[in-house]
Amino acid sequence: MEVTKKSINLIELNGVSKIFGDRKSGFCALNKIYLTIQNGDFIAIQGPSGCGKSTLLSILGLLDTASEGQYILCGQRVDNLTKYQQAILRNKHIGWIFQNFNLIGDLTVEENIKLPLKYHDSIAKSDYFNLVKEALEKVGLDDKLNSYPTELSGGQQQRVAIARAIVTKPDILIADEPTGNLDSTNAESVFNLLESLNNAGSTVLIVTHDSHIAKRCKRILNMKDGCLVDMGL
Amino acid sequence: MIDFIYRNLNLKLYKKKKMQWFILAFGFSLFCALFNLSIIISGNIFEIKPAWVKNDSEFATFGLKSHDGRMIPTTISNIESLKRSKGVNDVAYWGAQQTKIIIDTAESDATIIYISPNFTSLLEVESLPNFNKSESSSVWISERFWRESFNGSNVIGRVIYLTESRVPAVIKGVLPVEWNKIGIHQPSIMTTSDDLEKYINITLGDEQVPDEFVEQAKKQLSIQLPAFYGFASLTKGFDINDLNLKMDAVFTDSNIRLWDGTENLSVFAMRGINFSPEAKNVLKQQWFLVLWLTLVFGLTNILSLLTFKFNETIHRSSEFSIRFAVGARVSHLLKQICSEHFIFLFAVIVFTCLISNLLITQLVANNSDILSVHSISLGWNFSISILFIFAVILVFSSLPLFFACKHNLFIKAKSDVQSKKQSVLAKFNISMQLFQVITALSFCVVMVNFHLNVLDLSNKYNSFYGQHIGLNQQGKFSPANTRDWFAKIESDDISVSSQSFIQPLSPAINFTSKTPDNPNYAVLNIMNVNNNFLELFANNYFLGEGVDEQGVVLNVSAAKMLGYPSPKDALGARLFSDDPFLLGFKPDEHIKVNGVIEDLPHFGSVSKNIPFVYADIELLQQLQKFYVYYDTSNIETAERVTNEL
Repeated sequence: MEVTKKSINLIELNGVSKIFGDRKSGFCALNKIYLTIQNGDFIAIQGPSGCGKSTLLSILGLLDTASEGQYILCGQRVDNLTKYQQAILRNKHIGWIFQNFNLIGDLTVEENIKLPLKYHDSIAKSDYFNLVKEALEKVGLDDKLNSYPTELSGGQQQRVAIARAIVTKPDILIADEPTGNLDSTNAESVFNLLESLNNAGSTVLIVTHDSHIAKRCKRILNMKDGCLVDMGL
Repeated sequence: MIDFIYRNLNLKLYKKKKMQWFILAFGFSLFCALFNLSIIISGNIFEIKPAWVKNDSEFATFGLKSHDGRMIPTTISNIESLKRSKGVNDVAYWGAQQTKIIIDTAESDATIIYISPNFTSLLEVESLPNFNKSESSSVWISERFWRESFNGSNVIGRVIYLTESRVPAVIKGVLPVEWNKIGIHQPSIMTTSDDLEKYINITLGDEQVPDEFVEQAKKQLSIQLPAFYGFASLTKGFDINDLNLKMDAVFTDSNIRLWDGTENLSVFAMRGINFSPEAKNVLKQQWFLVLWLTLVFGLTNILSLLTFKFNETIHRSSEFSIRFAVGARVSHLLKQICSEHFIFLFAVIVFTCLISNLLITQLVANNSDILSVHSISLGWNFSISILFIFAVILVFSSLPLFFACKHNLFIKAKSDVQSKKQSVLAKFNISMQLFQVITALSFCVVMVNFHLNVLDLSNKYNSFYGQHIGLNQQGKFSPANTRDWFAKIESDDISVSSQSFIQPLSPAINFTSKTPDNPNYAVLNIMNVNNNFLELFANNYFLGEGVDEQGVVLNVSAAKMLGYPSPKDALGARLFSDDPFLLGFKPDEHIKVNGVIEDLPHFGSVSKNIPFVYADIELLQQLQKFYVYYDTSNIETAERVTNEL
């Protein structure tokens, strides 16, 4: 299984563009992006505000669709899939981590982490608890199972968000400014966690403004005006 | 299918906006209960065939055609003749007569219904007993008669005596309760028409007549008595038109007519009371008003729910975005929304049960004379309306989410800050909920006003308005002293009526005015009152004298309908009625018009020009309950009298 994973490109973008509004007069957020991401990569995307980082991330994370071009995820073309099919793939292959954590305040830590499992078709209910426990142990918060997000610090909340992202064991973790809302200690701790997940075999893709963090990644992509100006190869 | 894992979330959602949820739940329950009520009542207002007939499409009914085109009774002989007609399978018949009943030593008047022995089998009336030939001289008594005259004790096998000749009859059983109120007759006793000749009394003065001749005469009279309506089951392939072609050949009486189905018998055989057409129209108007208000209320409920859910969906867009981001599909979110509404639905069902039960119990208790609500139909109606509400709530709760998903509203929502749209929707939702509450209150005001606008009539009513006091044959006031008692009430300036002033459940009967050149016929509502009643309510117009043993008082509309150009012309006129006993007059007795009173709004504020005939309440010997009214200045006397009861 591991051999098969390493033998193929995890992500391939072939001439992907994103235009908001009318094709002729609309705003072009991404302009003919060509990108290949291998299994086990740890990639940082950098660039000034409005350069298209988040748009690229949304397309890669199947939250948005490209206006043109091809997107191949795990060997399967996904840009022409229905929203229903994209949701299944998103649940199965992608773990999302947001800058503002995006935990549901009315749910406990356990329930928040359980969310992706609930939407997964091939995980039995009886396994939910063990998987949640395992994910929480990985982020070092196994004692916070029944806490509510408001009872946790920012760093802990982001760790819970990471636990939620990894609970289904996705192929790629996509993190949009994961340390943006954290102090330096917590930011360091969260980044270390992502690093350790990458070392354990996960592919990690992060958008960051922090050049120190970006430098610690295996590869840095630079963007400007919707184009990839440096592929980091 | 439905995951209750988020039970904590559910409760939190309700707690956050508990007042809005409560208004919604209560609104939907009230709507559901009112809708239930409207549908249940509709059967009583619009029913056109006797409730006890399973399917009347294959029957023809027949009787004589009256001057005004209505069906009036004919003879058994005529009905039996129809058997000879091609296309008629079998015939059955029923008829009613007033008779004297003697129980132990107490005498009273009652209505006896005669049915042919094949009546129940021909019309498939499951609720009636079969009368076998071997059970001659046996009768079944109505549930009301059983309660009032026998106090609900075991009566099977007891002997009662019928007619002046004291013919013994053995009680075989008690009829089902729904047979208490069949048509205007409200029968006390039912028996087979085979026994009719036994109850015919022939007196020929002092002359000695052979028994054989008397028996023969009775037999002849029994089949020539014009008191029966016929029912014919038709042979397959024949309809009413085929039978009409054969009519002349079969009947010598050219007035005999056939009617399609049983609806023409509604006046005589339908459950409930026969209202005059004007009164029935008022009832229908009221029903439509209730239904219209109910539907408007339902619509405001739906709009309120819709705006509430739109607002909530936008408010929760961040949560839904997160769910999408971790792989939820639209179906997952719809399931989530559904599961969240189970508590709400449960509350609606409980409230609906409570409100429906309260409304229906009150309505049936206050209108038992007209309303008949079957528990089975009630159950079905209730289940269907709950299912309907269930579907409405789920659809309209999910709709905002569905639209939001369809238009990708959640994908980019990452902020909990209230947007301008949210703020507008929140305000709109509050407005809708206020509108919902205002509609519900308006509904109540309109309904109360509808019935109580009549209070403008005078400030003569007091808190005892509409109160009824039971009067039964076994109680303190027996028929023998009813008259004395009413006379005492009269002297104490207390007003009484046999029916409630507003929404009177008044029977209507046919009257003929005996003007020499131009006899007029009209169906008029009847009510028995005392003279205090007329004086209390007549604010503007009361001509002539009050009610007494010989005469009645008409209202202006009744006088007009009977063809008198002005109310004055009606004074002293003589009326004739088919069913004078309902007013307490004897059969074939002429009724004098003593006075004419203004049109009182008996059916509420929308009712004007409903014809009424008022007769003396003292003439009634059987009265289950009556209504007491009195001038507020007379409150002490009234309280003393009512306390004496």
